[in-house]
Amino acid sequence: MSQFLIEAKTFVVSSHDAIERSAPHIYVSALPFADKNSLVFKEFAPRLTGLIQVEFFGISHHAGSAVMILTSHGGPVRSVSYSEDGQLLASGSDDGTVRLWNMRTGEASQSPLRSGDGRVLSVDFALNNLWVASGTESGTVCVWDVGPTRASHRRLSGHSGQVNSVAFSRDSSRLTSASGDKTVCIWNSETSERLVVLVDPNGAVHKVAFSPDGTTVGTSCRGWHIRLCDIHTGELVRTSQDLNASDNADFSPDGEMLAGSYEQTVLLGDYKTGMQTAALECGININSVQFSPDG
Amino acid sequence: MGHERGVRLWSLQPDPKTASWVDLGGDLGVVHCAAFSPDGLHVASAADDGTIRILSAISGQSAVQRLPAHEQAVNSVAVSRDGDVIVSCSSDKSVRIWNAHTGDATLPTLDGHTGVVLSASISPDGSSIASASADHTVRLWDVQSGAVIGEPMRGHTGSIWAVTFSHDGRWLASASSGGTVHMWDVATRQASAIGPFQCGEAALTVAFSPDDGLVTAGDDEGRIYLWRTASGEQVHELLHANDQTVLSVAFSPDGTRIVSGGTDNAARIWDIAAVQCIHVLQGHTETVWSVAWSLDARVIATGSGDATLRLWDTMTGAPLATLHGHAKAVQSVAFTNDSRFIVSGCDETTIRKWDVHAACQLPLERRNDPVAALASATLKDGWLVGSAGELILWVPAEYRGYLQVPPCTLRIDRSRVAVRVGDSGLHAGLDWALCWRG
Repeated sequence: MSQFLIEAKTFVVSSHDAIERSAPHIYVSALPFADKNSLVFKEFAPRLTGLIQVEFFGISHHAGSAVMILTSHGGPVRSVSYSEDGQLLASGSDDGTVRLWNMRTGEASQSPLRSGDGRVLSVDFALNNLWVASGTESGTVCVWDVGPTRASHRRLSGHSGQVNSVAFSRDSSRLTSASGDKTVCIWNSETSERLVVLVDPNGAVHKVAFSPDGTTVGTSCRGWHIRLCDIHTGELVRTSQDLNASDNADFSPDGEMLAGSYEQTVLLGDYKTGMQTAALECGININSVQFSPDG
Repeated sequence: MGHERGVRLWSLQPDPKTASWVDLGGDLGVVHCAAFSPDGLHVASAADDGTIRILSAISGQSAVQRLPAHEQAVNSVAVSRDGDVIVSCSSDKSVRIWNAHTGDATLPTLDGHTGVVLSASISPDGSSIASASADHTVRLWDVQSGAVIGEPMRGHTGSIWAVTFSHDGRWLASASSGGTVHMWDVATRQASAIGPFQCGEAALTVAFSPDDGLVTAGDDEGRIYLWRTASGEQVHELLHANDQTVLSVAFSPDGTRIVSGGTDNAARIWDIAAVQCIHVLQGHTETVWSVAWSLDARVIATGSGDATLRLWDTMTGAPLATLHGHAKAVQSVAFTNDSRFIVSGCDETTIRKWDVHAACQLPLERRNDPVAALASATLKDGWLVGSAGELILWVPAEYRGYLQVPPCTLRIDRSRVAVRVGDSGLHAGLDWALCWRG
């Protein structure tokens, strides 16, 4: 029974667009495309006749179909981040809210979080599952307490331009923020104290990420090399010399590799040397890059 | 990785340099951010339309990457006389050979041309292929081995837009943007005693009459030339239309008529003896790139920049059917010898095979027939929509690029989703409730 419900959910979610427009298409369209081995198909297909036949060649069934669609933001969604246990997802949107979603049910886990600082450009979930950080259009960084107590939020002020990217360190003790004011700040995420300010000579900082060992941050400005800076001193450790101009920055979980992107190319580099190891041509403009948890 | 049309998953194992990818969930619109779930099983995508989609990352890894017929536009297709082999050539500079029944490649790509390959023809005995390229050469290939036969044939001073075997297999004719039509002796691969023939600024198409007694070519000034192959003497010119380029010509099987297609969006049927146009085939909304005449003499097929093929009655010039499915300009059309199928090549890198009989059954004026409605449907916002605007079938985003809908019977592309009416008929539109039998 529970297997049937799980498959029924997948069935409805994956054909959500059709059913929403025209309900009969739950039979007419959704069923012909359903996985032939699913309980839903086996249960309903014999009861129906005169449906369109669909055959797949060289395609594994329902490759990468949506298993869940979350739709209540009132504007473009700029950023998403999972909690460490995968139970919650935080999202930030142009509608000025941060939302938290229950990943078992797909429902909002609490009412939308508003700080009144304009569009939310970036969110990050701390690995301790207690905080969600958001970076906003007006230059404010907010830390939302999403633990059991759900106290409120703290506003971290200091940037004079929009905050494009926020990220917690792996031990959750530090928070970093990258801004259009050409600076990157490192904050104590417990006390909200600003510890270090890095000034990037290349211009507005688009993306920031902690290295897995927590000793450096990687920062990227549109069209410049990724810069690796010491989080205690703020000093430049090295630039990713051969890693061509980059719009993005991410570290592989083992700390060995760096990923960036430039226009339509994903760039991979060695963390220790900064040398480029691969360039993946994409043919489409790239907005974000991230390593999978297994690298 | 989030990009302008969705989420792309790259596999960095075993070597990042040769990473393969799959687009999760198909076309999702602009995705600002994509994040892995901690267990790596899902990817959350943040989209410009305000939705967050949770996509399965696992099923994506096993999905087959798209492998189209060619890397770039398919410029020309040809079918062997026995109907078993399709040959195609492409802007990716290669020639490929396909099993016409399964759509499988029979050989690796035939590489050698240093420019875009614009035209290909199969010899009447099916043993060799001629290809013509923007590199100014015509090359011959062995169908069985894929090996080059002899040296490239040189002599043209521009891109060679068309090449064709004579029906007896002894000659090749080629037409180039240098304005000349060259004749080649297949056995020696040398220029023949007759020709080259001079056209306007550019000759873009060439064809032999069924008895090989005449060769015809069209140029960029709307002229269609006819020469006698025995003497090289010019017969007369047919005038297409001023300031139009003639892109394709084909003889009727009895050799008395010619069909031509060009940049005025129309095809024309000509009576050769009377030196006049007897029918203008109008309906395409873009350039007619290719024309073909079925060997049973009943149907003319045209392929156009409007992404459709149209079929026409050869006696009356009346339209018989419009075939939808290609996403971009249809560059080339060819009938099988039994006149049952048409093969078409398209800018979108795919090749399709169509059932002529099924296509001609389609009523042009829409009847209340869901089978015909499916066959004449077009894909719009993810829905196959009938000609009256009715929603026939919604297609999940990830399959929209792979659809094969009748009367298309084969789509040459490693991945495809075939949609058809089953044995129990089709209850669609207002009759949908009949599909429930409880």
